[in-house]
Amino acid sequence: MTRFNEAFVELSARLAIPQPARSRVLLEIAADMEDFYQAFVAEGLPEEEARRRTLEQVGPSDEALQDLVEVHSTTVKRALDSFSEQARSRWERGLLAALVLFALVIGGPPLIAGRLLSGMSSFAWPVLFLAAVGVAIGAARVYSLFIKKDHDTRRLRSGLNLLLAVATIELLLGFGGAWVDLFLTVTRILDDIESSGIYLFDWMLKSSATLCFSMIAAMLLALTWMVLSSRVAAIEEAETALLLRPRAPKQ
Amino acid sequence: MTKVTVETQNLTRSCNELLILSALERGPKHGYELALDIEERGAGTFGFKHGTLYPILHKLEKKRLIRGAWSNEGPRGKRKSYELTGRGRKYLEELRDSWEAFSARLSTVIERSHS
Repeated sequence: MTRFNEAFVELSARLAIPQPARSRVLLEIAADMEDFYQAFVAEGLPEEEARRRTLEQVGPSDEALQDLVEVHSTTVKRALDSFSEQARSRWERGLLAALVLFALVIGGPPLIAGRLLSGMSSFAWPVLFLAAVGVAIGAARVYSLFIKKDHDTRRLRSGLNLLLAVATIELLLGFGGAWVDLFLTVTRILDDIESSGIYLFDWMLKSSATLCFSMIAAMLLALTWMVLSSRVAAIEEAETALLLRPRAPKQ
Repeated sequence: MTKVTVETQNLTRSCNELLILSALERGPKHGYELALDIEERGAGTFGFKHGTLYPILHKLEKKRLIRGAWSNEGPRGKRKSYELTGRGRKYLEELRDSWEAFSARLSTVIERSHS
């Protein structure tokens, strides 16, 4: 689509909405413009007049653009979009990958030896279950994006936000579980002060196992989210770039 | 959901919402079909510019009264179409009632004097 490129460059500059919402709005307007243009041409209008009428009819006014900005600027959306921006920077992904690697090197051997599983508290089970859910969501998105080549960015993004939510819940469960276990340990110590050392060591063992699971899972899910978000953002940017590409001269 | 009322301060917005939701009640539509439906059924009375519909559509979508979906169908490539949700259907009924009540009151106020 090239006949409205100049108009889109101007519209893109006026539309103060963060990505990826801006790309989506521009793509939606582009599709409608093409429909209106074709309808005007079918009515018998000359191409230039059809183009002028289309821009007049479909191009959003300053007031409409301001309303669009208000609709797309909620606090949550701003926060998510700013995460998306971060996802694009390579060093941040590299840093997170290094963190995950470090956690796996430290937590991996005892995990394989089964020491973590035998020492974990009951809070580790929902953590493990959620990790499995997160892995399933991530795997489904990786399949859609890289194997099935489904580039419906809207559908892909909805799953990615869920992935981020699961990672957050993992962390909350891990830390929350450790605190609840500490409370239970203290109540046991109050009943049996003589064995306080044993109870405390038992708590440390259980909590460290739960925290180890929750942090590794959260970091892995966050890394998956960052890589996939980055890929989806790249697709959206490519679509917008296609829209804003300079018009090829007529042969 | 709060009670839907038509107020003189937001007549245009409310009217546009009613037109869009009513058009979508007749089936899912993308932007151009939506404009065409309102234009044809309204016999040109509601001659608004299509560009003014985007913020209304996106606001309705955000409130989950309508659902937007992208498709690659047709020769013209990727496009977004909208459909009414169950919540939107309920809201439309309330909005219709409010407009009918508003219209009845307006008729009473502007009624010609026979004296």
